[in-house]
Amino acid sequence: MGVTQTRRSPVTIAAERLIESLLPLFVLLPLLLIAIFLAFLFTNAFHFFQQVSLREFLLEPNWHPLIQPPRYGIAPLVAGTLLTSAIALLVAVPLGLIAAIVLSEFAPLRVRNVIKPILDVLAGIPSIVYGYFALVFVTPLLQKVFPTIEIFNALSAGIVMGIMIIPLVTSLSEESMASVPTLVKEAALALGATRLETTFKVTIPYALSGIIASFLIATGRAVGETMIVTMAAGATPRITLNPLEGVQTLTAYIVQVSLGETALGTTGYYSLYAVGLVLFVLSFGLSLLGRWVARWKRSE
Amino acid sequence: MTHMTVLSPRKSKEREDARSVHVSVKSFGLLYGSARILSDVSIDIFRNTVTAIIGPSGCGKTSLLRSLNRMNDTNSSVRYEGDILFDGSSIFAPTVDVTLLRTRIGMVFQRPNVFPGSILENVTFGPRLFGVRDREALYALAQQCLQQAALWNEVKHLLHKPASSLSGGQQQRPCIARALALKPEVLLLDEPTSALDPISTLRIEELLVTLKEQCTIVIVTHNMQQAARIADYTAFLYAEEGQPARLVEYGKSARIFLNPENSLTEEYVTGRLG
Amino acid sequence: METQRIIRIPELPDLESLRPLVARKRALERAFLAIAIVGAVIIFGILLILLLGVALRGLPYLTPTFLTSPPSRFPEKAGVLPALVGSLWLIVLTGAMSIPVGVLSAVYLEEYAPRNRIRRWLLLNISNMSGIPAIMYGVLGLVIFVKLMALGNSILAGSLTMSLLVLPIIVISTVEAIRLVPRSYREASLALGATKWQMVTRTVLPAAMPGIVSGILLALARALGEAAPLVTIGALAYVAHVPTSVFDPFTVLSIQIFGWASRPSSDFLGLAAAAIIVLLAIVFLLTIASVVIRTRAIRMRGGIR
Repeated sequence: MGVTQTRRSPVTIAAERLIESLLPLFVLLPLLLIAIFLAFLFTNAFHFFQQVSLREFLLEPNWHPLIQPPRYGIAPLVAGTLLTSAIALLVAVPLGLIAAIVLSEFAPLRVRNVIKPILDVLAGIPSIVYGYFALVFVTPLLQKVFPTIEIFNALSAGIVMGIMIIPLVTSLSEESMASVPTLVKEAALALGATRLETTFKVTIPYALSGIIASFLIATGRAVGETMIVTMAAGATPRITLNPLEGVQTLTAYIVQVSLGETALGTTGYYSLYAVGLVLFVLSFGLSLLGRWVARWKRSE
Repeated sequence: MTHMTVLSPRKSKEREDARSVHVSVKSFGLLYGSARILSDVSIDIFRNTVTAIIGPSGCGKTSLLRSLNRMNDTNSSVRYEGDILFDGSSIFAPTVDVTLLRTRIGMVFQRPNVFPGSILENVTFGPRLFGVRDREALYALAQQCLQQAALWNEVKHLLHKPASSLSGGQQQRPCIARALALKPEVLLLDEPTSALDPISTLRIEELLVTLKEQCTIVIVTHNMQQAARIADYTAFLYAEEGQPARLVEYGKSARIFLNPENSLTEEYVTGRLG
Repeated sequence: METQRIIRIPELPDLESLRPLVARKRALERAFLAIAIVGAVIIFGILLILLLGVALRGLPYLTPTFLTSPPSRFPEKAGVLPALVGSLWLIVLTGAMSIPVGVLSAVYLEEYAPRNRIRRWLLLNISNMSGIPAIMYGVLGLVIFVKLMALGNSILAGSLTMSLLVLPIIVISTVEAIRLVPRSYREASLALGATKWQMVTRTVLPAAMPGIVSGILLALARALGEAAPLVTIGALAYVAHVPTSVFDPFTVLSIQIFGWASRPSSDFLGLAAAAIIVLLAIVFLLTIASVVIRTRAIRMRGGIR
């Protein structure tokens, strides 16, 4: 730590001052880029809405930009996103929450300190690997159980997405529950509650906002997921509740347009931005809601 | 009126004050893994008395208190030596269910720790755990306990408000009411007034003195004046540097404070020690 | 409000009669734990099986030729060399851009910025950035780097895009690491005559290094694994040559996997699996290193939570 010096060159001092004065720019740069991006997003989406009425966008039940006559109803893509996300959440929420309960309320410290790092490593598995799982292993398996299932289907993608999200739900919920003051949990135990009763009657109500926040953030993650649904759910926009069918999500459509060669300035080109806007609002809105809910209770 | 008696209280004529032993700590030792916290503590706690455990901070008073209702079981590396008898039978016996034990030995903690939920829900938490459902009866029970905790008049119109909306100083009293709702035979209190202002402290001390007619009170306190004020019996625990805590002296408070037998006790109560 | 009726203050039923109730509660608790543990074993098991499946599928294709050849229409000649090199270029460039920006942003936020609403707003928005889905960063890259700055679908555009994506990870973990540095360190440094900048660079940052490095490794692992943003900016799945400059078109491991997995042939699925093995090896290395560094730092600080 020895930094004593009797005299410092004015150049050094000036250089330090310069860097220090430039520091705020480093923070502002990314935010500025995001702001510019949002401006572009809105502008290009606006171009889209000049060519496609809002009415058609919201109410038309079909989305096929390439088949004549083109139809630009967002509902099928949103339905695809919601279907796959719902399946993912059905898998991730119960399993993730139960895992969090066991980790934070029942597992001895030693077990916790082994499992939590493992969860962190699992959370780092790229989603494209999960996409491969869905395509190559899960779909064939499901075909044995449901012979009518399509090769590209929402169920396979949804299940695998759910497995991918479990570590996220678990670690966020576990954090919330572990931060409930020990004294409160002990008060319940001292009144004759079992560990399980304490968890459900005291700990979870106390940590409820954090737990709900973790669900919202997980939902945002599911909505924004791209590779799994692109590889396994298909490219057929349709409004359906049947998980055995193929669907196309908002994210998969964006990929499809990116891979194709759509002419500049056409409606098809701008459709990417309109879909992007919807995706952004949905996914970012959910994450934002999640963070807001988490902060709300903490301030109480 | 106590609700249970597996064993009837023994009225021992041999004891000098004709009171029976409610809880008996026999050569009790406590370890967490290989770290020894308490060593060879023996105390007889008499029925319907206030017993104070005093000693410098960090010397194991709370650990001893928590052993009485087996709260230390929450630590997976805990090991016990010796025994603790409650109404003559060991609390560590395999047939003992710890949740039932804790309905008979209640605890109030050092800082208020209300549950999320209304004041009414907090106070009736215990009985509801064990199947009491009658709303009117629960309300009457809450009223009785909050009256005992000297809080009823302030909250009788606010029972459905969240308990956390009470001010910090007030929150300890619903915690006491909550512990009383199970009508425990023994009430353990861990420095219950250390975070409170003098007036609330006095109120709680008054409460404890009247409460001892119904249940046996064991209180850990670092405030010697408090112990002298309200305790019938006092135990002095002390731990030397790096050593586990041991019982230095135990007896009637009057004797402990005015005429201690042990020189260490005398040093502590006269303020010359920690 | 005082009722005149005689209400029986409830007594707890006789203790012995409570035993069945308590026994039921205990049984419920045991059942819950049993279900939870079985569930966890099943999920871990599934994951393990899936990973093993990929390994078995891909190992036959993991030859030295594979690692040193470009992709080809013929599976037996195909390799990941351009993708591997592209991925490495990508991580290096992304790191070179995001690490300074991220660390200096965090330094500003924690050491220099006045504790006001603006600062909280900045922190909030940086944290919100991590809620934006990866593909949106791809669209951002398309709009700003590929088109506006006319960089085309080059490695540079790709790295810029990924830098933005991983920036919040680096900023947040650096901020947290800096916050953990005890005040006494800073005060001691200043007391020895250091300027603020010297204190930051010679005392605070070195002390926060484990947390910072841990965050950087996670960020790089993330940059390596993401495919969606790069697909959007036009990284191609069929790039036959190794990139030689930052302006070259490129591909990365994740996109190569995507490209091969999109072909229905069994051989290409096997190639994809082999590429996954390579990708996972690097990602696991980075992630495990990150976790180990973080855990050791916590332990040295004196205690796992």
